[in-house]
Amino acid sequence: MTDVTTPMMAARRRRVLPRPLIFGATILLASAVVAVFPAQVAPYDPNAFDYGALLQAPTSAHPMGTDNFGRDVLSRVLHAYTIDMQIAFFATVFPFLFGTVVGALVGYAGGWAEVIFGRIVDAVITFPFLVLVIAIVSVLGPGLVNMYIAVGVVGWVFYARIIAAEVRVQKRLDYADAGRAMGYTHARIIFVHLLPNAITPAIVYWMTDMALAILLGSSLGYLGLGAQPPAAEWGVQIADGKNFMATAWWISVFPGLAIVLTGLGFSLTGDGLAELLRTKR
Amino acid sequence: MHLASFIVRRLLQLIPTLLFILIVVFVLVRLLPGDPASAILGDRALDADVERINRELGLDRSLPVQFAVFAKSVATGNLGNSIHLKLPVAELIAARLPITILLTVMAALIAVLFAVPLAFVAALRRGRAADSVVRGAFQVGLSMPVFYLGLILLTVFGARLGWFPVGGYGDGFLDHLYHLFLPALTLALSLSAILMRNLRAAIIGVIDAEYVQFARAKGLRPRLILSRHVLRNALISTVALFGLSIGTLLGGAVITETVFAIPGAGRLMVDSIYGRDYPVVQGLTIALAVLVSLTFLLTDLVQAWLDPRVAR
Amino acid sequence: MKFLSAAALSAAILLGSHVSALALDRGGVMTYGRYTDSLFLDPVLNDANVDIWVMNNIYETLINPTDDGLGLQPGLATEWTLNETGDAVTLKLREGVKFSDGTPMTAEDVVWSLDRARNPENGIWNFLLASVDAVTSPDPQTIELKLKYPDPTILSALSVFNSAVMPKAAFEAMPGDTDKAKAEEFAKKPIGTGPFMLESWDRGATMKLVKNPNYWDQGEDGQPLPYLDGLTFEIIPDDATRILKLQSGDIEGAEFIPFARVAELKADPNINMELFPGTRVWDVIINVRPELDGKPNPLSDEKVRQAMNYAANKDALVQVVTYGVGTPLSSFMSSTTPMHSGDGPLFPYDLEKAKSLMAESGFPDGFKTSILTIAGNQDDLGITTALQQMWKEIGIDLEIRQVDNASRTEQYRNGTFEMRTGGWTNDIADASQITSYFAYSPTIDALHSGWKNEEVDKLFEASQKEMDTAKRAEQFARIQEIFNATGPTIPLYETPYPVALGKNVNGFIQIPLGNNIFRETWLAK
Repeated sequence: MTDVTTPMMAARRRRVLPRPLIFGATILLASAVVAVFPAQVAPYDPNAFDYGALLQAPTSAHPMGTDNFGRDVLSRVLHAYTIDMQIAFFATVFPFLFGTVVGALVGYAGGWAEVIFGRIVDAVITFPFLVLVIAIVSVLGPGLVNMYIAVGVVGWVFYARIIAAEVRVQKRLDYADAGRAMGYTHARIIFVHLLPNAITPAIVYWMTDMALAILLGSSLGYLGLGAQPPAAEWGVQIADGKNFMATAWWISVFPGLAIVLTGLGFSLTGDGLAELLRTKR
Repeated sequence: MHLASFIVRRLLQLIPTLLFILIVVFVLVRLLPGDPASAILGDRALDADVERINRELGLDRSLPVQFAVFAKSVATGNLGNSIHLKLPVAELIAARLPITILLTVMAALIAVLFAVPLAFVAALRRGRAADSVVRGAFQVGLSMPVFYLGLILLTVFGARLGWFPVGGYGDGFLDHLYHLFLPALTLALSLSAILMRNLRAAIIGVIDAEYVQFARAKGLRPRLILSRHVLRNALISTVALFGLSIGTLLGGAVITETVFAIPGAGRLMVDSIYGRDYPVVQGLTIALAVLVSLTFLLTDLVQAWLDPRVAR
Repeated sequence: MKFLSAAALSAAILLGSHVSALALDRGGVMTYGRYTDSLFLDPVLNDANVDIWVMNNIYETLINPTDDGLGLQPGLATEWTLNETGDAVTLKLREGVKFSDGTPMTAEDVVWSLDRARNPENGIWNFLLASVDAVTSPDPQTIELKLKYPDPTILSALSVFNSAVMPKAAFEAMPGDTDKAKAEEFAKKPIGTGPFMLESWDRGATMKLVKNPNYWDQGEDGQPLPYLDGLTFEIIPDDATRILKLQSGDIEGAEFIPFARVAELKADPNINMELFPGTRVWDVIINVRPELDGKPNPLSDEKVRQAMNYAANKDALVQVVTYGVGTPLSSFMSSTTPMHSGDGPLFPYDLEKAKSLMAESGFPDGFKTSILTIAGNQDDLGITTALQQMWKEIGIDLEIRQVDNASRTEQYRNGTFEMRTGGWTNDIADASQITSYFAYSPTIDALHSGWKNEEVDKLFEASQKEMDTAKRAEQFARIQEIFNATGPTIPLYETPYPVALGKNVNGFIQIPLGNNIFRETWLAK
């Protein structure tokens, strides 16, 4: 039956990289460059007021117009890459690492560990995520670091859940038994043998999660609980322009587009990665 | 009887989960700086007034004592009174939660209506233009902030075109549906993107699976294959994902309810956190936990119905 | 209000849309968009503006503030006298006043209501009637207040919401053992003498008021007031949504229009953008304690504060944050407050002076400090973002910390904040309330700033017993002089109440104290 191959599958094997991955990675690469060198790309100081140029519509001097302080919207959108890309990374990397380890241990151990973990998962998914993050940020005080903590406290559970499920499947496979028969330590079996095979879905989820982190970060920024002024952050910028939607739409609309574009970068990358790893397997 | 014991077991599991959440929330809201009195009195708060109010509310007692008092009253079916609104919490929840449930159900239906046909189109025309368009559109949807989308829909379809009311909840069931359409659409977009992506992958997985290849090789008609194998298997994972998304959906409802001026439970929750209205936060937590658990149970039952192997 | 509807009418005549002076339309239900719901409709036990600013439509006081917020006019009492020594008030009750349930208002109700309002156990407003020793009713149409000491604020206090008249029998018939429990029941379906009565209240969504058929006053057409059949408050927290609903005609009025939108709505031909004079003042409150968190506090240095004041360009703030709607403050209290004094803007922008003051201060190289603002509040954000840039010029590195209201209040009351944004609205048409909170240290340490001035404290205490209006005005003038020069604030600007109304709405007013008055509002058909 192995020789039943559709033409499409063959085509996919021939192509080295899936198209979504190429698009996604290009967007992310460009975003990363802007995030690292915002000052080189942006035409103006993002925080400089210009009382002579308040609420100006897009012109050649200000391609995305100016905001209510006369700040250049384009420069703010570009500088915001630094913060929003950071949010995407830092809000997800710790949950990813911690969740992966816990998930692997739980999936491998099974039994009581799994029961207790199941209750934690229930508890976390039962309470609206955003509300919990708002509450934690309110306890810790606003700001990016506290936001990472709040997201991390809850976010690891999702990774752990994915990994635990995969490890559970993997450990029933022959090679895990073989490892046990050969007297390997549990740690070696988990981290050398099981995890590499189980981690794919978690990595794919990580990409999606980074897109979600930007949404969450900007939502909190919108509510005033994320990045603090005068830092340029897309959610903060949208909130800044909320009252001008009718008269100066450019203040909110361009940062919103930046969110969508960056999110698209992550989500296409995740999609492409999933495709690539599936064909490789 | 098998089904009944499954349901009972799941409901019993809810109790420790609920207790855990309750303790976390109970401690969390009390860790918040400030108290109900300073939240409501604001800048006019005088020390004597704040102390008096806290004493009246029993907030001068130790946390374990407060928790015991609370647990005892919950056990007798009393969720207490809202500190700010001076109403029984149960009454408030009964008024607000159905609105959020209706909003969420509508969003879920809209999401499914979008996701299922488009996922099939994308999966069956994999790699072609239709696939790219559908996937691209949904990925944009996934990356769209709820507050941004809501504001744009409201401005365009509510204010400019006048097709839909600009926020509010209306009077009477049909009017509710009419008022909730735009917010539900806002909420549905990202969910349908997640569902679509998952469903597409699931359909492709099934199509590529050996037994389907085999069926096709045997000359079974594609339509039959689709309905017999693909649809059912793809739906199983979609239903599971759907259950998991309920928390995200409720979280999104918080923002949607604010943008569209809907007096739902999400907004009540955030207002109560800001107002340090402890009894409301606690009562709503219980209500939401029960709601979400019932959703899980329901999705599990649907999964079991679709695939008897799930209900071990 | 009479004045306003007359003005509205003459405007209508000029426009030629109406010919007769009596051409006002009765009936209809007006929907008014509010940013948040009321909490507790009890005049005595409430504690928030969201209650205070609408309660006058349900309950009424013996004396009413005038529409300009400076004077007094008859309410449920038709006339009153304060004796020469200032320690006794006699009021004549209006005849034929009925509560909305049809029962007549009696002197017994009035005495009971005032006794309840001044009970020190009840709520946070009883201080307003602290001078009252006894309330009696020598005959059914007369009320007498005996005071413990001369009180120049007593007549104004009788125009404040907490002294509103409630039906004693109906209140006491409520279930519950305590006054509080009864009040909570009563407030669900309040009964008052006001022009409207509560029909239904869907918390957080809508509050429906209907015409009180027993209302005592008559409109310009000789028929009983109010003109409206009903008044619905719809709760729409999001500013943009509230405005959209007004523009789409779903609602007839919207409160708290963001300043950024005022100019745009003024230009909208379908909308009447009103700026009602308010008592609202905006400032930055500075903690001036010599040490904060164990370290010397640069903000305690008077020269530093003056430098900060001169470096803060209020005209720019008025433009950038209020879009020209506000006016720079000439004293810490609004110019609409009785006994306000001061004619020019405080600390006009002068960067050179600010720099030299900084150089003379104990912190010539500048310092780092922080300001607390309410998360998500665009006005706060605008003020602080602008100040951040302005103070950079004199070497001050300002960190903005956005927190929720309860967190800020906590740090405020504990005196652990460095700076915070502040806003104030008077509840009483008198200078004493704002002065007590801002400048008189025993109340709340002068806005919890730790600022204290012996002369101000003495002057304030004297002003609370001074019956000679001219002398009292002098005392307040001196307090303002001292506070404005050395006080713990950066006075910014005062603003009116921005309310947007449909073109068909007439005769609505929000008075400087904030009360929304729908008594003579009518909708043109």
